[in-house]
Amino acid sequence: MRLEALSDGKQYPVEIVRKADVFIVRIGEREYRVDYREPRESLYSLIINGKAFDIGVEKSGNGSYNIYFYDDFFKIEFADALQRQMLVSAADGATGKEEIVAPMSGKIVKLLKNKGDEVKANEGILIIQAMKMENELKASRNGTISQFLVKPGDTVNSSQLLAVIE
Amino acid sequence: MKKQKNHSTKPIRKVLIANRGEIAVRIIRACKEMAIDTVAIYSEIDREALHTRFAKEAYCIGPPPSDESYLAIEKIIDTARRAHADAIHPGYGFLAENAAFAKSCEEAGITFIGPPASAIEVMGNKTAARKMMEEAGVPIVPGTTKPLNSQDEVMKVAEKLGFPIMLKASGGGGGKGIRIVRSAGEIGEGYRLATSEAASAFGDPSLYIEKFIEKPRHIEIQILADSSGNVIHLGERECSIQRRHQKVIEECPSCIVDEKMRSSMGEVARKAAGAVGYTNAGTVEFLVDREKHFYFLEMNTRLQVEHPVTEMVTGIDIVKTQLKIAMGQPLQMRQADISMQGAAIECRIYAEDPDNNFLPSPGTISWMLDPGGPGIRNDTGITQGGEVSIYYDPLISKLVAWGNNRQEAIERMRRALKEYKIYGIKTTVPFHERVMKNEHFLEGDFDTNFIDTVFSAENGTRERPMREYALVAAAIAAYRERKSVGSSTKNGTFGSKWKFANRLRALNSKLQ
Repeated sequence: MRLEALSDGKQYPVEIVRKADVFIVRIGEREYRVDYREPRESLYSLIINGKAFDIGVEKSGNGSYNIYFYDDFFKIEFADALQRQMLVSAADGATGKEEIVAPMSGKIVKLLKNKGDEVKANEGILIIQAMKMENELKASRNGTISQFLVKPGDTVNSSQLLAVIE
Repeated sequence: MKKQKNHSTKPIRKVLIANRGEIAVRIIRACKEMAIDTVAIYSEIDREALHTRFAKEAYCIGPPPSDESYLAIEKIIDTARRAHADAIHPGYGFLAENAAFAKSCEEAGITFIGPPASAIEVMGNKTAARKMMEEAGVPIVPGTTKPLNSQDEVMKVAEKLGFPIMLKASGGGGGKGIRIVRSAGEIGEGYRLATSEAASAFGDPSLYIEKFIEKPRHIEIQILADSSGNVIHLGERECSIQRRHQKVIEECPSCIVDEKMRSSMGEVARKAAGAVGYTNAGTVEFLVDREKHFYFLEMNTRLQVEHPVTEMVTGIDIVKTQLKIAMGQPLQMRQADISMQGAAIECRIYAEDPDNNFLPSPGTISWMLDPGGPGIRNDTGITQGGEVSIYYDPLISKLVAWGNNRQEAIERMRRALKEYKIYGIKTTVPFHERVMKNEHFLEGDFDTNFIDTVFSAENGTRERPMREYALVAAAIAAYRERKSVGSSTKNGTFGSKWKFANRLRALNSKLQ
C-alpha cells in the first residue's frame, strides 16, 4: 500500500507491506522491519531492528493520527494523491464558511459578538471556560457571524459547533 | 500578637476532609495510619472519585461547581456535625486560606486543622502582612507597607525607590492586579490598569509598591508550630520552575542554598510565624535575588501542594504532624533534630497539552500505568477509567523522586516519567521529560522566568529524533484501518474530509 504522509508541513512517501506480524515500512529511501503488537487499544509495542518502542496511537480524524512518545508528540496525516489535493485545496480555500468549534469541553462564559456582526480575522468571538481557565476563541478570517448555536452558561463538548462565520 | 499557650490535648477521632483529588487521598492516608476515622465529601460528579471511595464515610454535598460544593461552608460544617467529625482538614486551595471558614469551624466546636483564623486573616492582607513582618524584623522587598490611593503618591514612592517597580493590589493574590512599571512614563497606564483589575478582582482598588527584583528565584521555608509556642523549620524548597507564575516543578534542597543561608532563612521564617501567633504547618515564601539576598514574599497558611519533597528529604510526615498539633500535642522534635538527607524533586502532572500552549485536556483516562521502583512516590487522586473534569484543577498527580543527591533524583525522575503511561487525555509528562534534559536546569541555572523564556525558546527548536518512528507507527495505523474497512475509504467521504480540513484549520488558528 502506498500513501502520502504529512507531518509539520513536510510530505513523506510511504509504502507498507504486511507479512504476518511483521510490517515492512518504507519511508522515502529508508526501510523499517517492524515487529508489531497492540497490547492495549491505542498502545503500539513496536520492535524495530531490536529497538523497542511503546507508542500511543490515536485516530484524530479522517486520515489523521496523533502519535505519542513519552517525551514527544506528532500529528501525522495521510491521504492518497487525489485526497491529498482535496485536503490542501480545502485548507487553502478562503471561500466558504468558517465553523467555530469547541477545542475542548467547557462552559460558554460570554459571547463577544452578536449574530449578524462583522468580524475581522483574529478578532475574539466568544469566551469558553474549562478547568477555571478562560480561553478566547477567535475568527481566522474576515466575515459576518451568520449563526450562534450556543449562549452563555451552556456546557459544550469538544468539537461541538459553536458559531458560523460566512 | 500573643502566642497561644494551650497545653491541653484533645484527641481527634474523626476527620472530615474538605477537599478532593490527590490531597484528599493524601490526608486520608495519614488519618488511616493514625487510626483516625475519615469522612469524605464529594460533589455529584465525584461519586466515583478515589477520595470518595477511600474514606470510611462519604457524603454528597452538592452539584459539581465548587461554590455549590467544595466551597459551600454551611453544607460542609453541617455534614461534619451530622457525621460527628471532631476536626476538619481543608487541604490546599478551596477553603484552606479562608478565615471565615476557620471561624465557622471554631464556632461549631470543630477543630480546624490549620492556623488560627487571625493568622490567616493577617497573612491574607498583603499590606498588613508586609507591615507586620517589617516590624518583626523580617526583610521585605523594599517598597510601601500601606495602601496607596493616588497616582501622585505612587509616583513619589517610585522615584525614591528607583525603577523598575511592581504595582500590586493590597487585597490581592493569584497574579491579579500586578503590573511591572519600568519607567516614570509607564506609571499612568500601569496605575490605571492595576487599580481597575484590583477593584474588580478584590473590591479594593488600593495598591502598594515593591521594588522589582530582576531574575529572582522563589525559595520557601516549611515551618511547623505547635500550640505550646515551639516553632521549627524543615529547610527550604526551590520553587523557581514556574509557568505563568504557577509552580510546576519543586525541589528540596535548593542547589543555591548552603547550610548558613538555610539557617538564616529558617530563623527569619520562624520569626515570621511567631509574629502572627502561628500554629500548625505553614510556608514562608521568599524572593531571592542574584546576590542571594532574600525577601519575604508571603506566608501560605496551609499545607502546600509541594510538601512531599520536604517529607522525602527530612523523613517527617507533615500531614500526621499537622494532626498531632491540632490535637494540642507539643512537637516531638527540636530544630537540632532536623536533618536533610539526599534530594527530592516533584513534577506536577497536569491534564494539559504541552504541545498546544498547555490547553486544558479534560476527559477520561482510558488506560494508565503508574511509575514505581526505588525512590519514587506518586501522589494521585485518579485511577484508570477516572475522569479529569472541567470543574476543578487539572492536576492528575504529583510525581516525586528521591535520590542520594540531586543528580540521582533527576535520573530517577526521568526513568519514572518514561514509565508513566496515561492514555485518553493529554498530559504534561513530555514537558517534564524535556525540562529534565535541559542543560540550564541540570546546572541549576534558572530563575522564575526560565520556563516562559529560555526553556520555551529552546523547546521550539529542539531536535525531534522520534519523527521517523512516529511515521512508522502512523503508517501501520493507516494500513490497518484501510484494510479493516475494505475498499469503502477508496470511494472517499470527501464531504466530511472537506469539513474536517476546515475544522482543523479553524481550530489551529484559534489556538495560537
